[in-house]
Amino acid sequence: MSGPAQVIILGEDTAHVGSLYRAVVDHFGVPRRRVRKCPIAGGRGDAKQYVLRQIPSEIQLRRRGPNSAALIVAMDGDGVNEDQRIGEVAARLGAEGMREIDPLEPVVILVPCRNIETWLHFAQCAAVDEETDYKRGRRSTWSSNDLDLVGRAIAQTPPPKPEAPPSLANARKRLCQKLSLSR
Amino acid sequence: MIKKLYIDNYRCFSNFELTLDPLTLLLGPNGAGKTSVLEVIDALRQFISEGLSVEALTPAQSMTRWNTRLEQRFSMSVELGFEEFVYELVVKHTPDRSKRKVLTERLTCSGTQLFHFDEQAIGHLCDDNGTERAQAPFDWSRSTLGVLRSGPDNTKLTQFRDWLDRIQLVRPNPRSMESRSEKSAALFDPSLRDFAGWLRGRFEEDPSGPYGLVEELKQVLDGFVGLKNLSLGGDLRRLEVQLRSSEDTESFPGKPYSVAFDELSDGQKLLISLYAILLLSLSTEKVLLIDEPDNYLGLAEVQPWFNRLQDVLLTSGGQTVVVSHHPEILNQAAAQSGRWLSRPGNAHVRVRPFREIADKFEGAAPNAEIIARGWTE
Repeated sequence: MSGPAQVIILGEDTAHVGSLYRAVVDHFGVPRRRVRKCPIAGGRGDAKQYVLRQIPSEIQLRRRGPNSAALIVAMDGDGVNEDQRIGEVAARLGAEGMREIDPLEPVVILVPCRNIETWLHFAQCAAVDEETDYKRGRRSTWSSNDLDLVGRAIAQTPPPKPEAPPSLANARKRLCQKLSLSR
Repeated sequence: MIKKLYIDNYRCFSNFELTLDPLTLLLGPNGAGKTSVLEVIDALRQFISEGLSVEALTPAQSMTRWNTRLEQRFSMSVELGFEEFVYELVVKHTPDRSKRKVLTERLTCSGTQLFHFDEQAIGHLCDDNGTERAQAPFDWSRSTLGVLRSGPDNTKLTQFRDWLDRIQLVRPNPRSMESRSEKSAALFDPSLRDFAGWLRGRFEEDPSGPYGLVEELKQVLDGFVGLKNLSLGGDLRRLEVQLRSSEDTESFPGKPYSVAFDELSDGQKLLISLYAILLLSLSTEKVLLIDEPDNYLGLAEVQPWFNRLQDVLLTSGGQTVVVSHHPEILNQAAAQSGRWLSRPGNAHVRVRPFREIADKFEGAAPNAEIIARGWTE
């Protein structure tokens, strides 16, 4: 199964974007040159709102660009479940007068629950749940090793463990289904 | 103004035609032939005006690698006043490619032949009305057009040759720029190594010119006060830049001080030279071929300089061809002035207006972003 010719990554911060970059490059085999990171919010207000604002223009751009370009978006759940976050995206597209994301359209919305630190905690071989906020009490900067661990966890190398958080298992499933990504 | 350039069987150009405007941006990935376009124009100028040999203009390795034809063709359409000049050159290589000669060279003005060097190595010189006045055998290893004598009945030919001297290639390398000059120079080296000598010439030529430059530089270079050519004895001069601290304290008394031009940062040297070239060199019928002027400039400096370039072009009647990869320039002018050069399959160069690419996205992303994503094909 061949993968997308290009991947665009949009996320809240360097943890999201960096982890997904590692996943698609190191584990799904997308050439580095074909992966583009969108700018992150930085100091531009609430990161989640920033991503929500960017999604319509990124999808619009992707729809005008080559079909082989895939868009991956990552937004933390932060107390909201995956379906609700994805629903927010649909509502935002509707508000912009855009059609919703087609099931065959290579646009993937990933929602780490409760947040991406949950995935990191799991990747560090700890038992996790999707209610606890593992961001609390943790330093905000991510090391290269952290990004590697989460990247590998997203790609789930080795294969998924039954105790993996559902949002992480869903992330892998969506990536494989919608991007035709394969290792 | 150069309206059209045609290149065939030269480097990566095969049957390549490019139309040019007063401002043309050459855009494209690395290796797409952008710089080569500038080099071809400058090489044709050198061939006619400076006596560059056909060996140097078209060495064997300049032939398109995958092309088996032995002829290389160049053509340039130039609008001067209300006339359109067309210069054509055909170079023929021997089958073993060890030698080459000018096969034909021709200049016409609005359809009237002014000069023709034919395949028998005979040069035909015509008057301004196209009537042949003389013919004689000429050397096929150089441009014959370049060595013809000017006279009262071939003023158009002279006009074209004079115009050629107004083409200048700029490939700035601030690290090579020197402060010292032994003489004033009418033209500058493409790298701007001898910028100080060229600027010295402009000081001598037009005292009002540097004043306008100084006033402009005060706006773009923090603490800039002025420029001066300090005599070092004899003909030797050193270009110095006067600066002033904006703070007026005991430790920084705010008095002007001088530094040698080559003591400035690369970006500052380039900024001064780019504004100087713009304001003191770009005039009617001048053609500036500028290769990546933005390489050393701070982000905040690129757009103001480019805006100024557009202003000067509107008032001067000059022409500029700019090669750039800079997002500030791409976002501002690629849709209007950009030509996208590419080599699909690593074959010959193709060109199309960047507008065709930009229109597809209807403003959904800046031009630089479309290019950065590689969504240009």
